[in-house]
Amino acid sequence: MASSIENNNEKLTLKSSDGEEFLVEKHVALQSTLLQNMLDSDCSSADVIPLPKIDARTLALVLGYCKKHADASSSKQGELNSFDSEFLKDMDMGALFNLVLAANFMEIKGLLDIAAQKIADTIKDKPHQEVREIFHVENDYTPEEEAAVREENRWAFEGFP
Amino acid sequence: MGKEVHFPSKFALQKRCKRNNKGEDYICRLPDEILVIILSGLSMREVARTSVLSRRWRYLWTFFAGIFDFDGSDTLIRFKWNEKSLKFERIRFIRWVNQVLRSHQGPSVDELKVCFDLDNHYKPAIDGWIEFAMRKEIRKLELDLNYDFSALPVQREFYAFPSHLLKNFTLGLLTTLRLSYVSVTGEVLEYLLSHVPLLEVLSVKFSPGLVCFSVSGPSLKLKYLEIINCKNMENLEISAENLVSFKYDGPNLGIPFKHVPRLVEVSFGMKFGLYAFKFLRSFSSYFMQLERLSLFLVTKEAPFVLDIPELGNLKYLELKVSRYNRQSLLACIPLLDASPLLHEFILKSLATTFKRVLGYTTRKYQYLKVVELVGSVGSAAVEFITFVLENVASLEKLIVNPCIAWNARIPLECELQNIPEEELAREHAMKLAAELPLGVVFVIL
Repeated sequence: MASSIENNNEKLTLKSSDGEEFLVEKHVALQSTLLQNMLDSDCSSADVIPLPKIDARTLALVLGYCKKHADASSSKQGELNSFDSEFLKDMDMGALFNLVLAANFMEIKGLLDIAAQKIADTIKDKPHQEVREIFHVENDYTPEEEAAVREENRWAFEGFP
Repeated sequence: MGKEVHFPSKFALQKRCKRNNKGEDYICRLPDEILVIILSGLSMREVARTSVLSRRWRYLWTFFAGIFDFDGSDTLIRFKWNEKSLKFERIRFIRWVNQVLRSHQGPSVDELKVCFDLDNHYKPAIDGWIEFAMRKEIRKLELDLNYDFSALPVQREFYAFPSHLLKNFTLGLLTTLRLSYVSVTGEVLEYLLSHVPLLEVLSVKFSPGLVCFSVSGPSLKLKYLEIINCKNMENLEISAENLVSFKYDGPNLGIPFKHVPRLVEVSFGMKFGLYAFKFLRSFSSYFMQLERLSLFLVTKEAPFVLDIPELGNLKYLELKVSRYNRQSLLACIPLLDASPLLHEFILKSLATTFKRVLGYTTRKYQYLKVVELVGSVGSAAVEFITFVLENVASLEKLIVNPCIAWNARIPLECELQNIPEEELAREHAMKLAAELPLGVVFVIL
């Protein structure tokens, strides 16, 4: 119901996959379209909302992002941008992947975009073997197959070692 | 108690994934659709190269939703004016674009850019690309079919925009449309303005089909309008509530503005720049609100009476003056004087001297912080810098850019050539740097 959004000081509880509970202000939670839709429908804020695929470490990061973006006024875009890049700086790949999954599940578009872009920037111009290692991809092509795929998309490899 | 949250099936673990010996399988948990989101942050070539990673990745790239950038300008420069090779390269280029677009399987594409020397002879292929863009709910479309590299520019027929396709598609997400060397009529542009609800950027260059164009509509989102070198242009009327920026070069039009309450940036090139400058007084009701103004002034006429209204909001002024044109240079000082809040001033000039041009003022420009000189070398640069140091009270940054090809028709060439004159100018500028006061950032490009 709309009434659930009226009181800005209301809080709700999110529970991570490893059982940790997070008390979150409603306006912060509204950064997530998933939570917004739940609140708009029948979910009462008295309930604990379990997020069984998101661990506590990731959820803490996600909520940190949401809080910053919920509290900042729209006029401070520059400040938010520098927060975003600082936020992802030095984050390891595992944490980034978890963040992308969480942002996708909780439908937080801004976070999904910056985390996905950060991963994309990391693999840019890297040799295939390195990209495979980053993504933990096992090369299941035979050498002939790999050569055939390369030939198929030859235009993309022009000037690439 | 907590409510059960249902996870969509897309979160199901990828079965194809084998756990590797390090025990880290997080990447395997990333469903294809997330990998596609990640890939969309890469360039088209980088994305296509991921096809060799493994079987799972072979066709992932064909769901790429980012920027499809078919930029053939390197090839064009290489085969410049070599019609025989260009003919062959055109076929190769078209085959490449067709191959990539045909293999695309995703539902949408953000942006399609095509840059190559193509004319109406290749209409079926180009029509197909535009149809692709429409089918994939494109946001930005850019077609630059430039002829600058061809040896036979006169005999060619411009590619005609396929207006018949507009009836079949909605273009509901299109925000940006840039057409260069594509013939499009005012009627078609007017149709687009009234049927593409989100269109914010419209740029039309070298369109012989554009004659009359009326920009208007009740809920027009249009913010940026650019009409450059449409040689048959006769009539333009702009009534656009949200228009912020207008750039024009081409035949004289009179004053095109009807209702432009948010207009803050104007750029006028060549002939029209001079016209606007001469009749600044008649433009004044629109120019008073401007924050950025760029004028290309070319005149051999005697100095005209300078009746310049105050440009009270102007923060950025760029003047382009071609070689041997001292008369146009005379516009400098009056324009500076009329812009009390000016922050940044750029002068692009090939003049060999500024004597008797810059000496007329005793005014100090209080708000001016950034000054850039482009194209002038030798003593002219010394004169200009002396003038700046004498008259700009709180200069923060002075930029000297000796690129003398700023007026080149093909800007690409500018970067390729290493012009000895420019090197000399750079050395000269280095010497000047020693005389600058402390605290001024001096940049030589």
